[in-house]
Amino acid sequence: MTEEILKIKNLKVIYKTDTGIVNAVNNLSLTVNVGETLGLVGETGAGKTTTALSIMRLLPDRIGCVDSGEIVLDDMELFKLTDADMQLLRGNVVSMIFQDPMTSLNPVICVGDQISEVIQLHNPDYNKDQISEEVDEMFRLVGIPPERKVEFPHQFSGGMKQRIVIGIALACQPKLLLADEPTTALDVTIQAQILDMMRELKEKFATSMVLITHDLGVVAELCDRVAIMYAGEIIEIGTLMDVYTGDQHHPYTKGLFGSIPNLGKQERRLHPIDGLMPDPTQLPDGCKFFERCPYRMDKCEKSQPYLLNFDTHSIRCFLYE
Amino acid sequence: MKISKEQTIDNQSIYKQQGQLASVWLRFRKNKLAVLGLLIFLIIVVLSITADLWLDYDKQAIEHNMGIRLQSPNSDHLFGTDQYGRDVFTRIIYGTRISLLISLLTIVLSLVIGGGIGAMAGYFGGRLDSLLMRIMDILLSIPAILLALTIVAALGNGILNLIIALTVSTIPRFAYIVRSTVLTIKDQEFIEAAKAYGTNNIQIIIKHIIPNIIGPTIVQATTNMANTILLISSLSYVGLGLPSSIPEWGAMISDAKENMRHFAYLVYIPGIAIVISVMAMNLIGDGLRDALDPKLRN
Amino acid sequence: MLNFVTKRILSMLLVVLGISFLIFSVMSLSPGDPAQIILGDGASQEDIAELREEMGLNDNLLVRFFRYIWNAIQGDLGNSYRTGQAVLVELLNRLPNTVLLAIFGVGAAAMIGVPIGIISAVKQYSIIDNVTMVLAMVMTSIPAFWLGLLLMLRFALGWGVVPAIGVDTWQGYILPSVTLAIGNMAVIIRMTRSTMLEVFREDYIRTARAKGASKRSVVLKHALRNALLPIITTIGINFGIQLGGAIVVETVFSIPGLGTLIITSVRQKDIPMVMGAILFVALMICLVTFLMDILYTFLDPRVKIKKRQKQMGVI
Repeated sequence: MTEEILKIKNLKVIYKTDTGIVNAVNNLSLTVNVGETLGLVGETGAGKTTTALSIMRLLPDRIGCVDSGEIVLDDMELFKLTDADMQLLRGNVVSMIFQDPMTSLNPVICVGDQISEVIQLHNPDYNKDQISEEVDEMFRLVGIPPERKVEFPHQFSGGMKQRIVIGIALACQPKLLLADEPTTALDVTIQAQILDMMRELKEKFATSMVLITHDLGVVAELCDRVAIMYAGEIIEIGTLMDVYTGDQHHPYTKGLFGSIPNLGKQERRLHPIDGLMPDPTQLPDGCKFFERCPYRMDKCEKSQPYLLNFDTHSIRCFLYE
Repeated sequence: MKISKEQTIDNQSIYKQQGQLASVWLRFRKNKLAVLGLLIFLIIVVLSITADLWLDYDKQAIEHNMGIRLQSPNSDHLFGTDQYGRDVFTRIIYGTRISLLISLLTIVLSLVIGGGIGAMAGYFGGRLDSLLMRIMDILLSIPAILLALTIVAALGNGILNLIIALTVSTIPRFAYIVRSTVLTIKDQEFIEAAKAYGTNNIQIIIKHIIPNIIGPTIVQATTNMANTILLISSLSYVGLGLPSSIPEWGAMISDAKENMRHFAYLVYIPGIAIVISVMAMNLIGDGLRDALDPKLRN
Repeated sequence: MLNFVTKRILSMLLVVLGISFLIFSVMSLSPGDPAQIILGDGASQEDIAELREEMGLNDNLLVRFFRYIWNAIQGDLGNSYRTGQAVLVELLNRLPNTVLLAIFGVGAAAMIGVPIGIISAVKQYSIIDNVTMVLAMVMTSIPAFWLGLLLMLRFALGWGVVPAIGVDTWQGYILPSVTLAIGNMAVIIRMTRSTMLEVFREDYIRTARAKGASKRSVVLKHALRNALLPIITTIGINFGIQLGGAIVVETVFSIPGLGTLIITSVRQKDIPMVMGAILFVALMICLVTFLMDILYTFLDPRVKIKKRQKQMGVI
């Protein structure tokens, strides 16, 4: 029986803005098992980053708000923890890396100190030498010569900066790593290197991971299971094989895969999915994909579809009832 | 009637401005302090314009009337009288005229000259830019008061010299803001498109650049106006601005010094007038700045 | 490294030269004949003409300017029209008072203003923040000379705890310093707050929080270190404006400094004194700006490294 490292139950997150309440995450539930990598796929605005920030409890202060739901990380109910306790978890039990490496590092602190900071925060009893050793080790693991630890972020390229960011995130060997589009801002060639490195480190430290991305190729490289998000909900989730192969899929998923240009085929036009995601301040009652769905039925407009489970594969669509 | 491509590009720019104007005003209106500032400013303007209708300048503000000197505020004289028996209330009201007129004139002159310099520097760039901005830098490094004192030292007292001094020290500020706005716009694509359709430089400046400059320039103008009013009062206080009979708030405070121990109201009242006027301008300026770019707020 | 500093010094000197030329030119527009002023009303035309030749007053503007500069470098700033004494001597007498005042004013303002600005930024939208902002706005709208008079009324003439004028005792510096500090403080508070708010929005702050750093550590260690750079630069730039305010404040409290000297000299049309005094003030401002520049270079690793790399020929 596999253990769960992360369990999200019925999470609902809103943003209070001047133009109205944005329903960013709607009744989302998912689990991540120990040692596995879950891909969280969706368009911009689907709520992927919000979900990750909720796990870290780093939603923007006055604007972001968890309306309801529960997140259990390593058997701890996160929303019941105090701020101080949560600080102990961040960087230590759960880490997050963000999309843009160019701006993620503090420009006036040398990179060595930025890694040693996280080690020191969570190991206050370490002396300077121990910390230094660990910092050096971390640099080696991410492929940067430890002598460069006295340099500053602007002296490194984008790819190397992201390595440092990953180094910071993994320095305390967290049980769960949330990676928000870690390679989107990088060149494709560097992307491959970074993904390889992440795979290695993930295996070495037995870290579970949630990989947020809109790139289906990246998912295929690293993930064991995949969840597709749309308008703040999970509309399909399953193993890599479940989602990438077979005939049974949510219409949105079909659209996603169908829109990938295929080098093998001769095509004249691309096949994007028509339309846009619904306005998050005014979400429809029924299925959120109703407007754009080529398979829509009357039922879909009024009733919210629930997840239908087929072994490891779940789909939120009335088509498969 | 078919609209040509050029017109479409031009129209886009203009329509953008019109729509923006309405939304800027809406955002400004939401800011209660800014609206308060605007209200105060309008009251000041109205007072200064209509003053002659309900006040007697010569009799109350200028004429010495030693019989009623140094009276604390009472029913006849709302703000009391000064050491020459002049009605303080009248002098304060007429003081609005002085402050407004001189600062307005200064701002307009320095806006036109400074804005012109900044626009040329920004638009044409190169050696002209370096030269002009070097000069602006030098002007900016001298504190305004110092510059004003220099000019007064050389050319003597008087309203004209005061205005010259104030204008010269305000020109670089407008030059800078206009130049940086022009630099930002110059690189945007709709300028390139307009050029590609053969619009010449002058047309580009009038149709595209000027509408975009208006916003930041007006913000700068309100801030500069506030500073100018302060500067005028400081210079008058040290006796180097205007002839002494003219009711200027700073000069009034200076006059009040010798009696201030027992007649403190003569110091308080003109000062409060200065603070209110300057605050109003600052509130308007802040409000405009927030209204023009709400992203900066949060 | 030395190369860099030298370049900066040269740049500063050029600005000082520019300012001097500007002022010199304006002064030369002044009506009245210096030779006549020196010799007095009863002098004959021949004597005046002779003195003009001697003083080189008939040369053109540029020549006279460079002569002035040449003399200035050797310590001769001319003699006062009023007293006939060397201008430089009087300036050096007065300089310490003004410098002290400026240091107190800016120092106190920075030491109090920066922390308040930080607190205001951290507690954005709270009552503390709103009140602070309104107060700061009011403070920038108050003319310094009026504030000085009010303080004098209350504390010196009213309660008598500090002297009203002059600096015979060190307490004489209190009121003028406080006056200057209050005005300067408002600007610093607003500037610190807005810089901190901008820094808070940066991505690396989010990274720091994701590491598990406490809010306090994030503010002081991560945010402040980045915000300090523009804050320090602004304080430096503001110094010039403050010096302008100091001139007027000196008059209010009758402090024997450069400010009162300038104003009395202007009233008396003592051109050499005015010229010399303004030159001194301009020099002070440029010096401070220059020092701020150097300080910034030391504090910002991005700038420092580029320089070292350039020196090593790496880029």
